[in-house]
Amino acid sequence: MSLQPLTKDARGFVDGVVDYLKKDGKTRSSAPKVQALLRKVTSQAHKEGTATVESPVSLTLGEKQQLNAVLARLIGHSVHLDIRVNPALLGGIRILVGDWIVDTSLTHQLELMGKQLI
Amino acid sequence: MEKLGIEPSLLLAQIINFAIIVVVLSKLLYKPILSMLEKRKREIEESLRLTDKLRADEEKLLEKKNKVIDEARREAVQIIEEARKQGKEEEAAIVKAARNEAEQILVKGKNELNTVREKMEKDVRKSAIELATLMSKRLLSSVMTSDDKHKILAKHLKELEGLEA
Repeated sequence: MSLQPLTKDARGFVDGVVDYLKKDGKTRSSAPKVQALLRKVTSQAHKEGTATVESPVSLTLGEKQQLNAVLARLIGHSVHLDIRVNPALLGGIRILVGDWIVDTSLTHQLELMGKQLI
Repeated sequence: MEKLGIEPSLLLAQIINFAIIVVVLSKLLYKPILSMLEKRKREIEESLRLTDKLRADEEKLLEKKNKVIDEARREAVQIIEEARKQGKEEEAAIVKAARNEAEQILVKGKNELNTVREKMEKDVRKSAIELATLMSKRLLSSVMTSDDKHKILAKHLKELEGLEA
């Protein structure tokens, strides 16, 4: 990922926030690992035939096939993919199958970081 | 006796007269006067006795009066001392209660101040984190390319592949 350099004001703000958080010793919490966001498939999800998938970009054919294969293995049978583009996710993917939810989006990770810091 | 010029019959008559006069005076004057004097004497003795009794009573009353005054003075001094002592105790109790109350107010104020400060710090921290999260989202949104998003997606799909069924 190629990040553009932050502007001077943005850098100053981020540095200030980091310094403030360091004072309370709560900086140990970092972005949650993706593995921690993965939950075991629920029994209800095994009965579902459709998976709602959200991604910040349109999935390529290869990505769709890979996702299909992964979900088929996890759920136990092939499911229909209802794929939606959601730019607000910024990165990662969000999958909903029944009551089984996997959200590895950067937005979700940032919100989790915020909650941990609070 | 005749040579001396004394007539025995006359002398006898005078003796008889004198005896009669003595008897008469004794009967008429001496006894009443003696009785009166005796009575007067008894009255004077009674008066003296009464006077002595009154004096003794007066002395007793005076002594009793002094005793009562001394007792009253002692009681007054005792009452004043007790009142002073009680006053000091009450004063000390009031000062102690006021000090306790002041300390409680101080502690309460400090606690309230700490609570407000902690709440403010918490609010500031929360606002800073929310703002940082928002800025991070905007920064990421502006700097991440489609290629970056696909790389992240590929990485996450790979992680998902490792999840047990």
